[in-house]
Amino acid sequence: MKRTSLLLIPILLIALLLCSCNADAQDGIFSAIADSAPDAGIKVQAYLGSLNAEKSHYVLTDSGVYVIGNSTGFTPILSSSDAQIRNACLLIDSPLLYTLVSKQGSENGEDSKLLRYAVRGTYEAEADSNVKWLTTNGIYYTETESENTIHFLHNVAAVSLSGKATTKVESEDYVLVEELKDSTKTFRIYSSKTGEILAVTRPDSLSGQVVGFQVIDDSNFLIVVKNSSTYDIYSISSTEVKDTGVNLSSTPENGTIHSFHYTSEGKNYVAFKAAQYFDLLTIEDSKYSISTISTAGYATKLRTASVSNIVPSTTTGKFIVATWNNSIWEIDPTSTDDPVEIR
Amino acid sequence: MKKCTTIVIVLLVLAVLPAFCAAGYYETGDQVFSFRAGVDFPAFLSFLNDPSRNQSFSDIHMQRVGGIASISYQGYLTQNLALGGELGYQFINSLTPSLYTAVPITAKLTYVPVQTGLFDLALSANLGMAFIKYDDGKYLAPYASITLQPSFYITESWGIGIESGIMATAELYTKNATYDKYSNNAVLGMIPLALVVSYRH
Repeated sequence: MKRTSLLLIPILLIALLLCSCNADAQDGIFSAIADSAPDAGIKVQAYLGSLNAEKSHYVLTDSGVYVIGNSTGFTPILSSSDAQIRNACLLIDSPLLYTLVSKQGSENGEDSKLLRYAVRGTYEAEADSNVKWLTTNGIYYTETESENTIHFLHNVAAVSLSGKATTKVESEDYVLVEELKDSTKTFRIYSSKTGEILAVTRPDSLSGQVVGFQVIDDSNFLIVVKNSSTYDIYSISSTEVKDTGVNLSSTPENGTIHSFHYTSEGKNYVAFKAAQYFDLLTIEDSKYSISTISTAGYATKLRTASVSNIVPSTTTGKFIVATWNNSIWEIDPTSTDDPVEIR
Repeated sequence: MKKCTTIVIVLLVLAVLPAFCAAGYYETGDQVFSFRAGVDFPAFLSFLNDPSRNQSFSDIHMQRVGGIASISYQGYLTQNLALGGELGYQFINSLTPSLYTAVPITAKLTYVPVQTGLFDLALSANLGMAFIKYDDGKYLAPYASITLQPSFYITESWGIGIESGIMATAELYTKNATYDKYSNNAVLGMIPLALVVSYRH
């Protein structure tokens, strides 16, 4: 009895001591369970835009293009049954719907075509072929043996590249393309509405893969470069690529950095979705600092969300955040209120 | 108030039951090995610092049923009291495909007010910790349970019984400057229903 008690009491005390400390959980496990949402069986890959006074929100999922917004769930517009829809673009002004499709199993552009549809899903025509990628903001890239070209779905003249586009990341109306010619790499930034904005040579000293891109204004941009296990932030202007000296705390599971930019009280802010919560980059007088936001409404609500894409809302100052588990939110980055879910 | 009254009545009944039973079967030094397997039902999820997020059986964001299994070893300290340990495994799905799992390691104290040789009625209290995991989150959590177990001994050594009660796992954080973890302090309550096979020696 005595020996057993002497053995058990210290074990219990050590256990209780361990339990009284914060352990390895990044966020509340029970909190994540409480916030878990039912799986609808489809995965939202991108929010495309809205029509008809916010009633029709178009989303690209792993099984096709759907419309939501009337509280009736996901209404199918286009199905991925025969050809896989790799990306899509809703051209609101026209309005038209474009999809980049390739045969099932052909992920890398073989037989990839750009197809044009009416917004209710009626097929109109094949718009182009040999398409390597399409962005949700309306820029696409074709590659043949004789010519590599950046095209614009808005009325902007196409741009020929002398090299090959190896990387593309989009942000709002812009796309960053990394062009490789011989051994020289060039960052080229295009606006979907005005064409090429700038081109700057990538410094040899900058190693790593570009995994994030964020527009600040028409002439200032940020990129996130994954270098080993760190995610370093660089600024890009027409003259240089400059290390800001700050890096992200972590990255979401799917490997792509999603972010949005806003201004408040004269300061520029960029919120990056991290594995938990958001990292907030503050830019003030060309000085950069980064912190984790854990208290604002959207940061708490979406803290464990796996983000598909973030685009500006039609309401100025707000953003739409699409997540892989099918929930789509309109957030106000300056408000501590909970974000509004679009259903 | 009603709950307290019920608990007091149950404890009183358990306390006086030995008076109506045959002489005790167990002796100091007897040992019992038990193997338990069954289902568990999520009962409640209580957020200690934000009750507005509490979820009960009807609206908890978990599947309706999960599973449990455990092994335990106990030795009798007195005729009615046995002390030992238990190693378990619990799992249940949330509403997403993600699985919640817990591996409780506990000290187990059992009071056996009814012991006829053929039939035992045991009230057990477990206290210890559980390694819990969900998605990317891992946590070493305080864990406690109270269970009631009637058992029938088919042979002199082997018995079979049913166990149920309440199991509570807590997630407790101190105030943290980086993350607002403090608001995530919560207790998950589960109700087990398990088949127990026991070997006594």
